[in-house]
Amino acid sequence: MPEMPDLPKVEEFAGPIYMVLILLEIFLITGKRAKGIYETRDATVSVAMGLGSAVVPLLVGGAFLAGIYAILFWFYQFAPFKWEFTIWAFLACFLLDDLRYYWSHRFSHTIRWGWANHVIHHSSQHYNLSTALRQPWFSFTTGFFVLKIPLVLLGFHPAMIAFAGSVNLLYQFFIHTETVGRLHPWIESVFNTPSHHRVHHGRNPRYLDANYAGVLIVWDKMFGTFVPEDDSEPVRYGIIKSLGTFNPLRVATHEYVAIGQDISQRGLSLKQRLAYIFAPPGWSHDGSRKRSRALKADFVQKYPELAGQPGLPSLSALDASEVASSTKLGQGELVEAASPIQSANS
Amino acid sequence: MTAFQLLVVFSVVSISLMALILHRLGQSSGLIFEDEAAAMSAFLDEFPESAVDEVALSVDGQTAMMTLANEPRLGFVRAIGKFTLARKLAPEDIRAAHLKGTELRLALRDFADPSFSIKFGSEEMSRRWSGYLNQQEEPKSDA
Repeated sequence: MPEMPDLPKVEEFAGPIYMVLILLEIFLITGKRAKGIYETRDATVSVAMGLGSAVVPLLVGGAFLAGIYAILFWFYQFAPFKWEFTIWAFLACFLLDDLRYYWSHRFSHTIRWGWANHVIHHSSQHYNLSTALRQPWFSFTTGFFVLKIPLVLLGFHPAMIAFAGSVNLLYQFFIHTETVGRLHPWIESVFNTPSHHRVHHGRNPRYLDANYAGVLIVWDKMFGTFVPEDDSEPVRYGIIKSLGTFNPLRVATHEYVAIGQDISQRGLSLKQRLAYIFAPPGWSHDGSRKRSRALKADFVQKYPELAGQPGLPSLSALDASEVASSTKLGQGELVEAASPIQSANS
Repeated sequence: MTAFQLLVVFSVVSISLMALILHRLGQSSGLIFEDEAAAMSAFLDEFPESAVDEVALSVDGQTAMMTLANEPRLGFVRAIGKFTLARKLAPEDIRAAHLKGTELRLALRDFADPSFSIKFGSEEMSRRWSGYLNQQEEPKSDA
């Protein structure tokens, strides 16, 4: 087994960098009229959630984390080739881990169990560097670590993968800002930028379920989820049903509570109860809620002249999905809202 | 002290410092609706299909309550940070309603939006508007 060097712990040195840049952004916004909005309670909760995301997993999920690491090591023994830690090996690992991040992030938006964890990060209507630190507390419960197994089987040491993930998250801190507009077109075409990530945090119908990238935006372009920021439609940040609390415990757990309330309804089948956990957010057994596809469809029906623009369905796609939806109802399958594209989140 | 303990202490100090700086820079004041029309506009932004009959704005300008045309539910819009939060509430959404002087306190069943209050300009106004809730359920008066 190759020796791993003592890789730096990004989370230990990143804290001071985060705080200095947050203070700089605050002064630029309040003093130099840079674009952006801060509010005391919102920013305080965001940074406190970041602290919670470091502390809670260690307090309540230590066994989970150890178990996840042990599973990855168990798979590592089957890798036919094991990479030494070199810059090229790390770059390859980083690239593949960024692809892994894309899918993990996408699943976090399209599987409610993952969304219950990830919604924390999207729960503020403000968008600034403090929002980057508004991180989930229960990521160890999602099970998405399984997406790292292919990397391990390709011979990348679990510690190298963990380090690549840390660098990825460090990069993403810098893109949570309105202070930076658009960067050079070449950079915008390859990398995830503040502009692209603003779209990801938008709750406007056209911006829902878009731009899942970590570092490279090319994954979204490759898998059809890329939506550019449209200057004619300013991003409205947050989630479809905004939170009415700044209580960190409620912020951290509210979607899990909602799942609990949904699955404990009387008269549901087992399949319906499972769907409340694993179907996309916005799914309901009686079609009383709307997923993001339905929200996009509603928007296009109201503004048909915008149909087919990035992030919005064409009128023909809308017709096709209505046929598909009615067919499903006819078969007595899980009842869906107006149309079945994706989740009502952002 | 371990690196982890240091991280926690640093974070707590940093959060406090940031909150203090933001407060001193005047960033603690949430959004204030200029008038009833502004509150109604914010509500209709979230519920464009609704028609508002009547609006009452709180004395601090941060919460508004409204009756809706052809709907049994009541409309509420309030500041949450520098943005707004709009809700339509039916009787089953409200766990308890308390009227104390000019202030109406609502406890909701929504875990992510547990409670809020609205302070009216006069007791007459608070009684009249809580009366709309009375049509849904009987508020407990502490006054």
